[in-house]
Parts: sequence; C-alpha cells; structure tokens
Amino acid sequence: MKNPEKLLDLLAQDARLTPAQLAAMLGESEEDVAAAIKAYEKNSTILGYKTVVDWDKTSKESVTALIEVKITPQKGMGFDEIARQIYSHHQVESVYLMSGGFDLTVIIKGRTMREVARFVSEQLAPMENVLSTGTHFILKKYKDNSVEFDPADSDKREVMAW
Amino acid sequence: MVNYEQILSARVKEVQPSGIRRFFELAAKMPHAISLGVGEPDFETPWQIRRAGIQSLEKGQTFYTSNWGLAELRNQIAALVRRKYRLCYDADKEILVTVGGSEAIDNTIRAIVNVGDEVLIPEPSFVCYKPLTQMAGGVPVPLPTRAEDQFKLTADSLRAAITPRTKLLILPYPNNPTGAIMTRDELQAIATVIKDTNIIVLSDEIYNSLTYGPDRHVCFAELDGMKERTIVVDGFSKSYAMTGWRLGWAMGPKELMRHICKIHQFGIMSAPTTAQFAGIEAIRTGEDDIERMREQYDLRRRYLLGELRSMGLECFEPQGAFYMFPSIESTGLSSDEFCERLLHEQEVAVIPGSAFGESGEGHVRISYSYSMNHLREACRRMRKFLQTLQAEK
Repeated sequence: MKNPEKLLDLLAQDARLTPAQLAAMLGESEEDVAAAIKAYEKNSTILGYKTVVDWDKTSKESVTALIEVKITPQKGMGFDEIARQIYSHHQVESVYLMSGGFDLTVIIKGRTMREVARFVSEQLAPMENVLSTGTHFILKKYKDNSVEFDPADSDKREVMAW
Repeated sequence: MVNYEQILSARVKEVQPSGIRRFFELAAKMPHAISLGVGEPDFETPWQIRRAGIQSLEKGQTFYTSNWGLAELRNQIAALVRRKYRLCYDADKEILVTVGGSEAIDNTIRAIVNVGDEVLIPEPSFVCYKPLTQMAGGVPVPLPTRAEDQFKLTADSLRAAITPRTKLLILPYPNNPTGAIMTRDELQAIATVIKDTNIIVLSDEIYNSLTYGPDRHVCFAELDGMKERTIVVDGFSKSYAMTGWRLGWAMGPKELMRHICKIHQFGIMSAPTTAQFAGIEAIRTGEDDIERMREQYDLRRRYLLGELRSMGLECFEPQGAFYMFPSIESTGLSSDEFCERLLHEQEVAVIPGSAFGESGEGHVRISYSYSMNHLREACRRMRKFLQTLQAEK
C-alpha cells in the first residue's frame, strides 16, 4: 500500500467507509485495503470504532469532568503505573500524561456531579502518589474529535448552475 | 400599453436564459431532494481570510479603491503568478482586479470583439461565454469536444474552425463541466495553430488550483509567444472558496489591459474593497488551505468515480475542477430525461450535459463539491435509479 497513513486518516474521519470505497479513494485494490485494516486491528494500531454522540440531545443525564492531577512518582513506580491505577476505574474515559503545570489529565464521566465528586474525593485524591487534584466540570461541548456539535449542516449555497 | 418587446435591445432578446433554471426551480420545491448540482466549493472561506475582511471593515476601509484594484493586492497577484508560472506581469499596468472571473471574461470579450467577429468556444463549457459574446455583438462559434479526446480541444478542430473573422479563442481549462485539463504538450499544439494568426486567447483558468494529476497546471501564457496574445482570467472563488466575495482578475499585455480597464472603470469603478483586503490575506496565507481543500476534493473525486463506474456508467477520469461528466447514453435516455426522472424518482438533482452546449448531450454533470455523507446518500439513490432503468429494459 502506497500510503497507509492516509487509510488511517480516512477511517479516523469516517469509520463507516467500506473497503471498496476506501480502495477507490486511495487508488488501491479492495483486497489490499481490507488486509491492511485487518493487520492494523491485529497489531492494535486500530483500537476500535465508535460513534460520536451528542448526549445533550438525549434524556440521559451525565456529567463530564476534566481533572488536573499532580503526582509524585515514587521509586519503582513511574507515571505509567500510576496512570494505570487511575485509568483502570471504569468511570475514567481518558488519561493523558501532560507537559506543564500538572502531570495527568483525567477525564471522567459520571451520572451526577455528586458521583464525580465522590470519585475524586474517595478514589483519586487519596491515592498515595497523588499530590493534588483540580476538578473542572465540562459545561458544554462545542467540538469533540474534530466533530462540531451544532453543525450548520444546511447547505447555504443558493446558485445551482455555475 | 408599453410594448416591451419592441423596446428591448435585440441583442439581449436573442440571449436565451440558462436552461438549468427550470430544473433548479423543480428541485427547490422538493424538500427531500438532494443536489449534486452546485458549482461552487462547499467549504466556507478559511477563517483567517474572513477575519482580514472583517478587520478591514473595523478599520473603516469602506472606500472605493483604485480602478485597477488595491496596489498591494495587485503586487500579491503578480508575486503569486511569478511563483507559480514564472511569468512576469506589471502590477500597475497588466493586472486588473475584477468582480469575480465573470466580469473579467465579460470585459475581455467586450474589449476585443467587434460586431460580427467570431469567438471560438470549446464546448461543453461554462454557460457564460456564448451569451456574453452575443451581447457584445460577436458570433459565438462552438468547438465541440468529445469524450474520446477526454473533452480536450484538439489542434485539428481548432484549425478547421478558424476563419478570417475569428477574433478570439476561449480556452476554458480546467473545464467546467467536464473536469478536463490540458497538458503542456496539448496546449503547445493549440499555441502552434494560434501563433501565425491574429487571434487573441482568453484563457479562463479559474480552476487552476484544482488539478489532481501528477503535473501542475500550465498557464497558457507560459507557452512561447503566447503571453503577448493571451488574457488570463483567474480569481479567488474556486481556489480559496471565496465565491460570494466576488473577486477575480484579468492579466495580459498592457496594450489590451488599458482598454479592458476602461470597461471596468465606467461600469464597475472598483471591485468590492472588503473582498480585496480579504484577497490579500488569501494569497499571503491561503496556500495550505488550498491544499487541504484540494485533498478533500481528490478523495471525493476518486470515491465518486469508483461509485459511478460500479453503477455501470461510463465516465472518463476528470483531472481538474470538481465535476464528473459521465455518459448516460447506455440508459437510452436523453440527458434532460435522465435528469428529470432522477429528480422525480429518487430526488437527486444533477445537471443535463446539454445545458453546457450541444456536445454535452448524452452526459450529465455531477458536482463532488459535497461532504462524503452527502455523496454517499446521493450515490445510493442514483444506484437505485439506474437499477430501475435496467429493470425496465
């Protein structure tokens, strides 16, 4: 395959493209594209396929918080291990190691604010290596994973002929 | 009672309104109809370019500019053309900023054509050349191009059409509606025919940034001896997704531009000032945006070509603009019938090839200036429509 990254780019934008469509777009054969996808899945380059949902449009109640976490790595226990202990909680959606003023960004989702608060105060903050936490609740999502949440999807173009 | 028919200019009455209109009105009444008909980018103008227009308003830049356009904009255009084609145009005397490419086309035709002069127009092509020629008193002479030649203008057909009255050749490549382009060698063959004549060339290169082959677009003025007899029309609409700003330019020998500018000067004064400030920003910083959009068009182009071919439509691979021009002859329908039925039965609007000249009959123009989701749904419906036609046979 001439440009495997392009294949990943396309799938990252739209996972519903079929191997036949991807093949046409990339100028490759359908078999090659299907094989490449399979290989990427096997070596965990492709980790999954998800749907972008605007939960605000549903009746499901949930809150998301972004937590800045400062930690003190200890002997024999690097960032990776501490991060693992944090992301193993099922409420945790994302964990990133950061440069700058704090060490980890933890994004967690709960049904209610109290649930999130309880997670921070009872699970996260008391961890031995955690120095401090700063919790920010997300009020509204405008754009996530390159997807705008209130797309102006109506075609504004008026003229057909040119 | 006023007899309007008697009052109207004979030249204007002679001009037929665009045949696409009827179609457009039909589609507009159908709430679930989806269109593949639009001929402009689906991208909004890149933000920093819009921002530059807004800032110019905030600073109170609300006055006319020089008739020729802002000096800074003309300098930027000259620099752009030097970078792209290694062509040197005098920013003061050879570049005129216009209200879109369309005005540049109109002014050029009017400046050059005398009553009865013949204007050679390769077809299928953009719908404006013929009426503008008629309104200037000229005689439009269609040069049909063929799918077998990938809708390129050939030297033979050009040679055969030249008469002592031929004044102007329109060179509309990359082409709307076919997506055809002309390579350097193919343009050279045209230049060889033109070289020993007095014919002026109006090279409409508005789609020059949107080509998908291995070679960059060649400006006709690059060819030996052609700069002195070519008016190049270009603009911001397609490359920077700036259709609504109405900004383009014409460039050519100063002996011609001086007169073309007179038409602009008395008819228009100057192109919109806000748009001109945005245009400066576009040339300065828009290179990456052009590439980003071009890549998107290219993916859709490949996708759509694959879909059309797998539906059983014959389609040559277009290398420019954002249109496909598949043949629908295998369906046994005329292009008008095809489009009408497709609109009524599956609610997809595409444009009959015949709207772009007689030689467009048997084809339809499909624009891929749409999101992938939109294209996917449109293709699903078209496939269904073609299956229905197949079943009828």
